[in-house]
Amino acid sequence: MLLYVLKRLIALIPVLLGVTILVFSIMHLSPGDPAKIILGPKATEESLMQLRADLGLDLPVYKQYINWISNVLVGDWGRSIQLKMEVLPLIIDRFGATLILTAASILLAGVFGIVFGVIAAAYRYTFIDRLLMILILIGFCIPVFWLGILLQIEFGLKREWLPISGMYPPGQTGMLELIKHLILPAISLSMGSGAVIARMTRSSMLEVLEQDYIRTAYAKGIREKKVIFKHSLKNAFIPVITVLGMQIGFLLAGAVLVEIVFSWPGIGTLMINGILARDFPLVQGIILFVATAYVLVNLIVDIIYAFLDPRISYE
Amino acid sequence: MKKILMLAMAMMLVLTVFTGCTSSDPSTGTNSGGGENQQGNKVIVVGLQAEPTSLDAHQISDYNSSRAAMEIYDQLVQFKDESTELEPDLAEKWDVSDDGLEYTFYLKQGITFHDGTTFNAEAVKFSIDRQIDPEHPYHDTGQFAYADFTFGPVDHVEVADEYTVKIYLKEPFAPFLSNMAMHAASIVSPAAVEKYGKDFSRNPVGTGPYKLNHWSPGVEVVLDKNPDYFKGVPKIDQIIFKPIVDDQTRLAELEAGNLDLIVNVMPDDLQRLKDGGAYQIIEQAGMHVWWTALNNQKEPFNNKKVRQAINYAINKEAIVNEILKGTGELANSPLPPTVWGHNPKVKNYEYNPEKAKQLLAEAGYPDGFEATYWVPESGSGMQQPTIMAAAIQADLAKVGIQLKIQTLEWGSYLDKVFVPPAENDMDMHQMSWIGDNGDPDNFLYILLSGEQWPTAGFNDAYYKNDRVDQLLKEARVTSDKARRVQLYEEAQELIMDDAPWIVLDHEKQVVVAQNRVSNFKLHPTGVFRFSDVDIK
Amino acid sequence: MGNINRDLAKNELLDSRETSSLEMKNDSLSQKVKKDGPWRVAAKKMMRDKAAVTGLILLTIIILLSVLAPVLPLQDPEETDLVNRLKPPGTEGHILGTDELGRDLLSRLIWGGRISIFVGFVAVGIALLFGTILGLIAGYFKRFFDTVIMRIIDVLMAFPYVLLAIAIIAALGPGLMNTMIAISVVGIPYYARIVRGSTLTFREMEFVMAERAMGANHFHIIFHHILPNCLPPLIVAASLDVGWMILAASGMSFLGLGAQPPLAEWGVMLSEGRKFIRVAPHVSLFPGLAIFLVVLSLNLIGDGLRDVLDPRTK
Repeated sequence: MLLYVLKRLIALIPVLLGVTILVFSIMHLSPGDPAKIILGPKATEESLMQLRADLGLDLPVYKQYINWISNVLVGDWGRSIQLKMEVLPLIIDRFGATLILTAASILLAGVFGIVFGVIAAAYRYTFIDRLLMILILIGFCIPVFWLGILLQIEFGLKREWLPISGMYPPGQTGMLELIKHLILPAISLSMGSGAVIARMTRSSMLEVLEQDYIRTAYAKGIREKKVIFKHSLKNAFIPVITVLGMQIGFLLAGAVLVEIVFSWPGIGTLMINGILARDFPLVQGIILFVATAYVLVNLIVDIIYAFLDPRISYE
Repeated sequence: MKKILMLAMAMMLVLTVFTGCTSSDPSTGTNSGGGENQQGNKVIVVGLQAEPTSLDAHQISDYNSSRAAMEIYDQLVQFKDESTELEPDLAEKWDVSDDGLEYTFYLKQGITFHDGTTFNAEAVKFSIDRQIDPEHPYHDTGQFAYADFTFGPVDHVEVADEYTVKIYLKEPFAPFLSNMAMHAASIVSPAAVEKYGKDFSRNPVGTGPYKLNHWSPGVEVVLDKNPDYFKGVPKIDQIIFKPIVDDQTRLAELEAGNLDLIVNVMPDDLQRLKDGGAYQIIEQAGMHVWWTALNNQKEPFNNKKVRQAINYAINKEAIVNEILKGTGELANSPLPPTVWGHNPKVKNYEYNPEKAKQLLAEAGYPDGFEATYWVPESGSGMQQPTIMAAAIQADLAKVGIQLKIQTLEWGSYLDKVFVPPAENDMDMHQMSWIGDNGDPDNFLYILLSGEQWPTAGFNDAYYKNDRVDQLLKEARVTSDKARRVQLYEEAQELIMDDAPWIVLDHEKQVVVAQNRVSNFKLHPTGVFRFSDVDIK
Repeated sequence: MGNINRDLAKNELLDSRETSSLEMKNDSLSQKVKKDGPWRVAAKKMMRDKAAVTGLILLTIIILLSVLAPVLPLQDPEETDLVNRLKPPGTEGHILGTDELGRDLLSRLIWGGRISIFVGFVAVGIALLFGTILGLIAGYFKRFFDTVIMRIIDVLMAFPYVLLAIAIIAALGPGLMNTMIAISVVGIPYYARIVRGSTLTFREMEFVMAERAMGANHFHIIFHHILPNCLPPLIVAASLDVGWMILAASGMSFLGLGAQPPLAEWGVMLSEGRKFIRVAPHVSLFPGLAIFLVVLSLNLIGDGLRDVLDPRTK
C-alpha cells in the first residue's frame, strides 16, 4: 500500500513538469507583452526595454524557463509583475478562499446529488423520477454566471436573507459571517456537479438493483428499503466516489466564474487578471499550484476508492 | 419505501434549517456597509471595478489604484475642484524663470508624513529622483509607468535649502507645472521607501488626508483618517474600498445599501436608477475622448472624402443617446470641453447617409468597400466597445461599407495597434484617451501630431498634416496662454476637416452614491476627493 | 459553464480507473461483440423508448428551424434599431422583443441556433476525433505509446480547464473558431480515456487474439474489430457532451472571450444579455431556454442510446 502511494507520487513528477512546460509555453508564446500592459501605451520604448530586462523577459524562452523552474524548486516563486507581491504567499492566501468555496460546494453537491439520485432510483420510471431528472437537467443547464445574479437579486437584494457578495462584511471576520456569505456562491457552484452526481447515483443504483444477487434478495422476501440500503447503496457508492473526485477538479476550475460573480477573494479572479495582464510568474505559479492540488486530490480519491473496492490491486 | 423518502426529506430539512438559521439573525443583518459603525465612527464603503494593483503613487497606472491610493498623498501643486486650474498644495508658492527652464518651489513647513518623519525638500527630490534616475538607490523598488510622461522634460532636481527645491528642465515645456499635480508627482516618505523597498506599494506612506489601515488582497483596502492632516481633519473616519468585478453584483450591493458609492454603472441601469430617484447621481465631464482611428496611410482611408463619408454615415447622436444613455457627451473635436483651448465653433459631422454615398461615389467607391474593424473586448475608457462597434458596423453597412469586426482581448489589442505603420495592416480600430494633466498638448500633440506615430507616440491613425504639426509644435514651447489657445483652435478646425478619426464622445464620469453621502466631488482627472465628504 | 460537467454516462463508461470495472464488463461484452448488426436492433429498441423519441422529435424541430432560418419569414438578425432597443416580448413586430441594439430576438434566436448547435457538434467532433486516435494508440500498442500519451492526457487533465481554454483563446485571439478549438481541446482527455479503456479490454479478447495469430495487420484489427466496439460508449458520451460545449462557449463569452459581434450565438446572447438582466431579463432568458431545450433533447436521446447500446441493461 505504502509502495503504491509512493509509486503514484513519483509518477506525478513528470505530469507536473509537463504542466509547467505547457503553461510556460502558452504564456510566453501568446501575443501580449507584460511590459506594455504594465506601463500602458504611454510608455517610451526605452522604459519598455528597461522593464523587460528587469523582468528577465529579454532572455531566450528556454533560459527563462530554466531560471523560473530552478527558483521554484528552491521555494522562490517570483514576484507578481502586476501586483508586485511575492507569488507564493499571494497564492496561498487566495487559495484558502477557493478551497472553502470548493469544499462547501462538494458537500452540497454530494449530499443533494446522492439524495436526489436515491429518491429517483427508488421511484424509478415513475412521475417522481422523471420530474427529478428534469429538475436536475435544469440545474445542469443554468450557467453559474446567470444563476448567480438571479440568486443575488432574489435572496440578497429583494429578501435580504443573505449577503450578496464577498466573503465577510467590510472590515469584519467570523465563522457565522463566513457561512452566510458562502451559501449563495456554494449553491451556484454546486448546481452542475450536484446534477451529475444525482444522475450518476440514480443510474448506478438502477444497475445494482438489476443485478442477480439483488433479485435474489428480493426473491428471498427481504423488504425493499433493506435491499436498497444494505445491498445496493454501498455498491452504487463506488462509481459515485469516482465522479466526486473528478468533479473536484471541475469545481476548482469552475470556481473562477463563481468567484467573479460573487467577488469571492479566491484564486480564480487572481488567475483571470493574471492572464489578461500577462503576469507570467503569477499565472505559472497558480497553475502549478492548482495542478498539484488536483493531482493530489485525485490520488487521495484513488486511495479511498481502493479501500471501498477490494477488487482493486495496487499494481 | 416511504421511509427512504422520509430520510431524504429529513436530510434536506436539516440543510434548510441550517441555512435558514444562519440567515435569520436580523441584528447582524446584511446591511453592514456604510454609515456609522458600532463605535460611532463614520465609514464610507466604495465599490471599485477591480483590485488596485499598487498603492504606490509612483507606480499607479489605472483608475482603480489611483482612486484607492490618491488620498494618501499630496503633490506640490494640485488641481482645483472640478477644473484643471492649479492651486498650491504642499508648495506655498513657486517661481518660474523667464527662460522657462528653472522652477523654484517654496514648501510649506511643519508637515509630517504618516510615519512621523518630516516633509521637506529632500523628500521632494527623493520622490522625483527615485523615478527618473536609474542610479538612484531606490530606483529598483518599482516600475514607474508615468515617470517619462511626468518628468520627461526634467534635467535635474536641486535642494536649495530645507524648504526650497529647484527643478531644472532640459528645454522649455509649457505644460510642466500641470504635470506636477499628477499622481506620479506625489511626495512619498523617503524613510518608508527605505524601510519597505519593493513592498512600499503595499505599505504606502504620504502626507495626505487618509493613511493606510490595511489591505487584504482581493477583499478590501481600508484607509483611516489622518488626524494630523495639514489642511484640517477629514470628517469621515474610515474609507473602505472593495473590488467588485462584476457590474451587476456591484450594482446589487449598492441597491442593498452595502456600498455608499460605486462607479461604472451600465447606462441602462443608470437610467433606471435615475428614474427611481433614490440615489445621488454625480456626473462630471471627464478629460476623455473616444474615437475610431482610420488608417490615414492606407487605401481607401488615405482619401479624405472616404474618411468624411464614413463620418457622415454614422449616427453618432443615436449611439450617444441610446446606447450610452447620455453617459457620454457628443464630441465636436478631439479635445474635450473640460480642457482649455477647446474650440466650441468646430462641428462634428452630422448624420447624413446621402451625403456619405455621394462622397463615396466621388472618391471612386460608389458601391462601398470591405474593411476590418478591430475592437477590444474591454479596456480603460473604452465604454461599450462591442455594442458601439456593432452599431457603427450597421450604420456603415447602409452606405455599402461592409465591416468585419475582430474583437481582441485588451492585452493583445495594445500589442496589435501600437506598431509602426509599415508593420500594421490595420483598417479601422477603436481607441480612447484619458487626459493626464489637463493641458491641450496632452491631447492634440500626443494623439494627432505627425511626430507621434507609434511607437514614438500615440497617433494611432497615422495622421499627418504639416500645418497641424507646425501649430502643435509651436504651442508646445509658447508660454503665452492666449497665443496657445489660438494655435489649438486653428489646429482643431483643420483636424475636424481632415477627419482622421470617427470622433464620437467624451465619456462622463458617473458615480452613484447613497443620498446620505454629502459633498462628494469627482475630479475631471478621475480621482476621488474625500477630504470634505461627510455622511448625514 | 461553471457546471462544466461531463455528464454521467461519460463518467460511468469512462471508468478507466483501470482494472476492476473492466473485468466486470468482460463477460457481458464478449457475448455481444460477436453478434452482428446490433445497430438495427438498437434502432428498433430505441423507437419504443418514449422519452428518447420525444428528445429526437424536439431536436429535429430545433435543427429544422435553424436550417430553415434563411427561408423563414424572419427579420434580419443583424439589423439594428437603436430607438427600439430592449423592448419586451410581445412588442409589435417583435414577438420575443428586441435586444440591446434593437435586433429582433426571435430571429437572432433561430439564426443563433445554427451557430450554437454547430459549435456544440463540431467541438465534440474534434474532441472525439483526437481523443479516439490517442486512446486507440495508447490502448492498442501499450508500453511506450501508452505511457507517453497517458502522461500527456494527465497533464491536460491536471491543467484547470477554464485556464486552458482562456490561454488558448488569449494566444489565438477571441472568436468563435478559437473558442471552439479551446473547448474541444479540453474535451480530448475524456474521450481518450474512454477509448483507451475499451481498447485495453478488447485487444485481449479471443477474437482479436485470433486475428492477430492469423497475421492480420494492426490497422485492420483496430478499424474492423476494436473501433466498432468502442463506439457505443463514445456515442453516448458525445451526445451528452454537445450541450456542455454550448454552455462552455457561453462561459467563455462571459469572460469576454467569445464570438465576434454581430454574430448571433446563444452563448454570447446569454452572457451579453446578462448585462441587461435588471432592465430586460428576457434578452438572456430566451437563449438560456434554447440551450436548455437542446441539452434536454440530447440527454433524452443519450439516455435512450445508453439503454439500447449498453449490453448490461436488458
